[in-house]
Amino acid sequence: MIRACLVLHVLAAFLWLGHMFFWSLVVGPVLKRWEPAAQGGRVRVASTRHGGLGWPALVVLGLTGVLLLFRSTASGGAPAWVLSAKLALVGGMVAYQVLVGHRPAPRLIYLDMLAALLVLLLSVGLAHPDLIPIP
Amino acid sequence: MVYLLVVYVHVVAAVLLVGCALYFTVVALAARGEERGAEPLLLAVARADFPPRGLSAPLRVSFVGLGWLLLAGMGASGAALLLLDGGTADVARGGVPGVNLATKLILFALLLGAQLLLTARPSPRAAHLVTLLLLAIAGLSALIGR
Repeated sequence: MIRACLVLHVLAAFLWLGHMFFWSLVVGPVLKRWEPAAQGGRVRVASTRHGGLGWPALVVLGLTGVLLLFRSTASGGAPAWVLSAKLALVGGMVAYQVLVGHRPAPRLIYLDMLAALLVLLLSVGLAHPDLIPIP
Repeated sequence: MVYLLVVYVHVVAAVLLVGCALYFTVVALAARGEERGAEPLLLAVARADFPPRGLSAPLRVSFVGLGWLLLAGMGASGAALLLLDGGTADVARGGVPGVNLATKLILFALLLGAQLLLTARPSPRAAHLVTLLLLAIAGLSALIGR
């Protein structure tokens, strides 16, 4: 059960963050300058038709995250600040999803991506608690 | 600390690669109803240059090229991790020695083949295959811990 939760948690995170990073950093800028414009329009429609991974991924991440917290020792041996910092950043990302969602937010999206990179770093730390330097 | 950073680079490369593969899958799904099929649109996407400005043409990379760069990053950091931990990460997590890692490496070899297919002839089948293999590798990696 805990292993299935872990796999689902990782897959949801990879899909959500992969989607966010690739669409924001690569697809968006390329679509703005696509030549010829007519083909660019078709690619733009195709790029956004099956969007909206954020909410489904968040539901899976939330459910599996809570289960993982209850079924394992809360921070898996990592210092408590690692889990606290991760949860605080995730809270910020959820707030971004609620307040901004898919609306254009040229500056906030970079803050959201920075938070995502830090969440990944802290998650790696939670998986390898013995390697975290003690502050 | 070095090990932690290499794991981080490995994970970030994998996340970006999942995003790249997912993009091809999304375009393939959206273009299903097109009169000439999804292939022409996938070919246009595969050959699109990145970044669109700021770099001269020879320094730009196509979308499939970006996939190869990320695969190289993932492979190099994965090889570094093997050198650093001697392939013992899955054993430390209670797995059968070498089984998870061997399965992951076989899936990675299949992923290289699927990416080659996507590069040579972009098609919905190749796009879905790359995404599925990547997700299988990511799921397995959660059990190994890297």
